[in-house]
Amino acid sequence: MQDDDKPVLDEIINGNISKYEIIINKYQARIISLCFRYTKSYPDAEEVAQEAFLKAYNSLNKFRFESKFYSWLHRIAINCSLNYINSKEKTKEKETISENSGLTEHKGVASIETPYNAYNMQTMAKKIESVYNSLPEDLKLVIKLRDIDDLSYDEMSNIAKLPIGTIKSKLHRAREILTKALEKYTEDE
Amino acid sequence: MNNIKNIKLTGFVKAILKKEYPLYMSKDFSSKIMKQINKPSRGYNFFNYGLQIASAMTFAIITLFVMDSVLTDKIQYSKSSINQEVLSPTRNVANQMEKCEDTKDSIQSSDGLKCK
Repeated sequence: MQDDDKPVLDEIINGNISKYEIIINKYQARIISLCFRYTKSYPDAEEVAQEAFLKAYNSLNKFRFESKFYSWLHRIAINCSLNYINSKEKTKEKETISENSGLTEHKGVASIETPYNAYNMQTMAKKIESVYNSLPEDLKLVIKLRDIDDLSYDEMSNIAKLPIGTIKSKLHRAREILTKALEKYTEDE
Repeated sequence: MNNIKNIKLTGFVKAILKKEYPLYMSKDFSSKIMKQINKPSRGYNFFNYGLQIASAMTFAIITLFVMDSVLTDKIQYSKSSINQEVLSPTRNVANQMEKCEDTKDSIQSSDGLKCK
């Protein structure tokens, strides 16, 4: 299984530490969201996610590329979250929490005021959803297959009945449209 | 758009499309982690060890110097020896019985005691 992150991870392992920022930027939103399902608090979720990224970095030389890097990072983040719950439990409640018992959906969470120096992801999500829905069908399909369903280019090529080169070019075009829609939300950086 | 920013936005897009995003997220999340990673490790190498000993010795010397100057300058020692004998005779009040005098007609001296 070819991991898209392998070239970057190889560079990090060979001493180019600064490249780890690419990994963090790529997965930060999903990892914080995962940790939030357990911690139920955004500041705590960020703290746990930070710990997970640091743990992954410190154990990177043990990663054997037998699975995707994100799956490995996901597992580390779950372990960190469970450790967090257990440490909280000792002081608060004596309730056994299984791996999935902390999982909740966003739907129940009321709109929270965005703190200073933070991205309002809800606003970004609304924008992305509307732009995604207005995309031409062929672009929408490649985005769905690659970014939502996590399919390989070979699998995408079989489903869309298009050559891999065309798939890649369509995907690039679709991502460009979507990221451009988010640019104004990160202009102050 | 620079590469890191593009990767960040692509990450946001993917998280949003997968519905795996937090409601808000610190802008400096990645830089905080990179700061931790770039922090120099505090290993006990020879240089660090030597530096710690040198700073401890410097602190000890300065402390001794300050204590020496503060404590010794203000003490005024007596020029005479404390073992010198006391020359004036002492008077044991408890054991001495003084005579009383009848002061009927005579003028009482300042030191005389009146008989009861």
